[in-house]
Amino acid sequence: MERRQLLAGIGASGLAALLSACGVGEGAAGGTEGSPPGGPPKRGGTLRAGSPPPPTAVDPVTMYDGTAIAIVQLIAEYLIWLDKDFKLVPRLAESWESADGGKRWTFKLRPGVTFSDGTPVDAETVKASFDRLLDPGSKSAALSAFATVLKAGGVAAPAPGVVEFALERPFSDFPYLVSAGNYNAVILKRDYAGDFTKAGIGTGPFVLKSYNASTGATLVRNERYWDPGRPYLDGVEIKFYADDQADLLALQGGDIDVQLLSRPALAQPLAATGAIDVDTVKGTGVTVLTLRTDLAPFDRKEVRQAVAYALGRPAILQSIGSNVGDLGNDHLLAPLFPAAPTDLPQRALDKAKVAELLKRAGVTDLRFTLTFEAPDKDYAVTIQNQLKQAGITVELDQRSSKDFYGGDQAKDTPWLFTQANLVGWAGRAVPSQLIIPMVKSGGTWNGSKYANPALDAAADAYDTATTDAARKAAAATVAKILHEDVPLIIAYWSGAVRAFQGKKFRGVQAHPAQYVDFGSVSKV
Amino acid sequence: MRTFLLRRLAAVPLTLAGVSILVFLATDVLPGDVGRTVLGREASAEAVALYNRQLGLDDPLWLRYGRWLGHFLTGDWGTSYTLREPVAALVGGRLVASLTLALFAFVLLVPVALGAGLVAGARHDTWLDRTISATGLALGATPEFVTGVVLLVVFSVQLRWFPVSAQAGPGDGPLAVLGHLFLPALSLVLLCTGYVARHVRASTIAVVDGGYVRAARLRGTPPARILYRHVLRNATVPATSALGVQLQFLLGGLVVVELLFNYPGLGALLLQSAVDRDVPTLQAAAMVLGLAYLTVTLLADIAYRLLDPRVRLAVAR
Amino acid sequence: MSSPGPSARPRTAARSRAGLVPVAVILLWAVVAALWPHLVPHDPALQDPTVRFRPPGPGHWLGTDQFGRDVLSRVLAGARPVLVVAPPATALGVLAGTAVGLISGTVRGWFDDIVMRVLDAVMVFPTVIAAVLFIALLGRSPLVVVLVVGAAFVPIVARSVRAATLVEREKPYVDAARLRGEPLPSLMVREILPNIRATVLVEATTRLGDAVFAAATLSFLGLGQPPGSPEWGAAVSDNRVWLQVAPWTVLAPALAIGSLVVAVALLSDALRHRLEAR
Repeated sequence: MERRQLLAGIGASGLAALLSACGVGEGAAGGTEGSPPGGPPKRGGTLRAGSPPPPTAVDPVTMYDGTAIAIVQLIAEYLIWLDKDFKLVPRLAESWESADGGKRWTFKLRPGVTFSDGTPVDAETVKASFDRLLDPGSKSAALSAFATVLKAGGVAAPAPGVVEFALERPFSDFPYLVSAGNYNAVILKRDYAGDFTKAGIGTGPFVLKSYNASTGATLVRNERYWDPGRPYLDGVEIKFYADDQADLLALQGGDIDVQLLSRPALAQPLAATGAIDVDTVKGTGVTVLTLRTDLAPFDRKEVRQAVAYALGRPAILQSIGSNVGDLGNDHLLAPLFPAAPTDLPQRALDKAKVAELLKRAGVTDLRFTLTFEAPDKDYAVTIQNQLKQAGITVELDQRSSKDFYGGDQAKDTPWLFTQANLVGWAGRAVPSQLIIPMVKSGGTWNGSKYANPALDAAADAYDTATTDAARKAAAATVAKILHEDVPLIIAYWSGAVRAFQGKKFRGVQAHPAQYVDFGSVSKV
Repeated sequence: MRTFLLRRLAAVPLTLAGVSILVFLATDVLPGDVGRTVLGREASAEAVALYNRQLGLDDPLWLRYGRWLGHFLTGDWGTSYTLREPVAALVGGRLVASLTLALFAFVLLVPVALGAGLVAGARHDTWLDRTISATGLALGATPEFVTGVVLLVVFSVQLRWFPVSAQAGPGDGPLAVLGHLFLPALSLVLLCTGYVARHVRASTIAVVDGGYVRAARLRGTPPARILYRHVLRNATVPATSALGVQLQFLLGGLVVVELLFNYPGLGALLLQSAVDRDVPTLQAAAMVLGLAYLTVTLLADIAYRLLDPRVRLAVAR
Repeated sequence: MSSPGPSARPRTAARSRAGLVPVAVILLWAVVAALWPHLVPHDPALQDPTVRFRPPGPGHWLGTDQFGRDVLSRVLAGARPVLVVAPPATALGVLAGTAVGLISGTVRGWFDDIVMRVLDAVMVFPTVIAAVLFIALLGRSPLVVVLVVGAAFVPIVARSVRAATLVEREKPYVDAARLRGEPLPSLMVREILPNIRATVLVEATTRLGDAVFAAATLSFLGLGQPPGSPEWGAAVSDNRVWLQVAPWTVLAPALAIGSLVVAVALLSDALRHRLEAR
């Protein structure tokens, strides 16, 4: 059970006593919006944050790494924010509604918002921001997210405060695609030319003062921010740490106050010693073990199931996931998604079943090569060790990230074409964002080469469902098929943590997608 | 001396040209794809191809090398493939950072190593000498990531005397900057002291046991004066060449310390750009590092020749 | 001993006794490397999540790591990957370096000039790039470490062998052999090589210590061993993040590296003194 849930049932009076008993500073509970414990928030102070240096130039249109996304989210804003429970929170859009059975969407903009340089935000600005992302000749990272839903020319500005989207097909979860859930979709000025670190102007709580690709960034309060009183901080100073340990040591040693991106496996044991504080949250991020369903030995369903039954999931969740998160059941409907099925039995370690399945498939002495990138090394070593105890031999093939994701996605890139591999996926707001690319026939990132018309039909039914009941039924079918066929093994769903110094700052929150919202962080 | 200098200077561009060819060949063999690295795994194949075409990566190897060389020689070091920043500024900033750290370590190293070597030599074959020599040898054999980790835990995390990161904040004064640099510099000093001190010790012994010190002692010259006039001066020659070798080492072996103490120096940039196949950055970093290395070697040789009368005589002839 | 320096006599006497300690340490690790499967109390790869981060004590005398693996067993098993890398890397570097230095120094002329420039370039070429390159081509294995470390030694060894060769080739016996019409290969191998033996041996002993150091550093940078390897440099790197939580997971392999490199350094220092005295 995670600490946050534990606290939910306890009255505020008992809270402090319990927290000190747990060895956790008071800041750990400072996440509640609006009225944080300990009086009204103080103004002032500079929050020093540590993060790995972005591997590429920080550009909202092309960015994909956590640090770049976090920096952009401090400076620029989305129509809709996605909070830590994946609820949509109005930001630059005040409200939205759909028509035509989910094919046409209208968003009303928040009036009176200006960029940090004083330029007002209007519907044309919003339209320009989406046109930039939808331009097929651009290098936009959001093109794949919009793929079958929204094309260039689908955005209109009928009035200064109204934006309209005409979709290619009905899509009930469309607001998620213009929210932070589609992290490239920030609203930028009409003349934005790709030079974000020099002329990065947004409507967000902070303004970029300086940026150095080697050392970090300095941000100061946006005096024109539309939400009066916020942010409480005078500024945010970001320092780059190329190394996990340096980052954590800096937090322990007081060189920084918060990590933008924390790894649960590293931060949790340290928090237990009382050296740092962490906020934890369940998530939909996942590292999947992909099995090539079109190649021996994994072309046999029994062999894939055998591997799935050979894993000790609670042990993996504990040593790799640090017990922040949930057990996985080899389907893509994370427990956090409202439509997740509850009646599917949890798969668990069963050595007798492994032997029986392998015998039925006619496989003796199963061995295969597991390909992965450096960050998943611990998981790979654990899988190798667990499968060895079930008589399955795993060769480990560690690649650099460039190598793993390099090559041609149509024919040879290791992450989509090796026999078995580990691929990490950041948390997504809706299950379709995982199901469509990963397991639908011909999906863009279908590394299993899995093709099943029954699953395709169920996935489509989920996307077009208009009632909660229909949606739940479609989700149950998807889950059952994946659980039975095992194109992917999902041992656990990652939770997210954010480590910080609770003695100095409060209001720091973890986010399942590692997003950053420091608008309500303040000094203790 | 002049011919010696000219020959050595002429060799520098040749060596660097060799290194640049080696680097280019190496990056051509490395796996990965610049466009994919910059745009991420979820970008479309078309966008990746477009990015690579705009960088001219579709051209044959010799054409890319020729283009790079032409630009590099005219002072245009290009733009980083991945960070889209001017390479000259990027590498220049890192070089200043690395040199600052190396120089600080050097400044700490000289008195420590000279002192240890002189004491060990003057008291040679006593317990003091054996302790100094064995400690120096042991520290010199211990990888800097081992000593560095111990220093970090004791002085940064437990005692909190020094910051964890070698990288100072934007508003820090010179003293604070040195505080940030102290632990990484110390781990380099611990590594190098033994080697330099051993050379100083050996020449100190030769001088102390040699005829003229004995004669000076018989004449009744005060020990401090003997130490300065004879011992220190004569011990400086081998110490200089040993220090030269160590400065090369300080420059080349910075990667580990920079990584451990999170210092944005040239070593870390070199490793990163090699992994990223960021050719313009990698080339410039390798060239600058190579030039620094060759310069230090040359300076150490010159200093050795100027200080040692025998070599000076040989050169004059 | 022809000319024992004023300091050499008492020291060698002291050294011969003290010299036994490093030899004993190296032999101990060599035995462990050979026989570890019979010595370890637990399977070094076996994970047991019920005993994560157990401090040293009965059952786990050096504690356990993040996966509940026995640290003592891992340190013992880690001796082999360390010891199988250093000697072949040293042999590679010394053999190739000696060949290059000997040929270059004997032949001289434009050939020598070109070889020296190439050696300069190799010396200046950053080892890190070489390591990244070899790993990309050959995968993560001890062989890569041997190649990278060995290649880095070639120019260093070649330079000092060449310097020694240049001195030797001016001596009368070489002239005599040349006048006898002895062909170049035999001149190098039969006449010069035996006389620069001391230089080669000094290089070999010094490089052995450097090889242990360099291999551990490459592993530490994540550029050497395959994942999950108990090799000491890799173990320090893997467990570095747990310094606060479980310092024993870092200190045990770090001290193991320390004991080995210091022993090798002391031994090679003693050997060098003896060789130089001769």
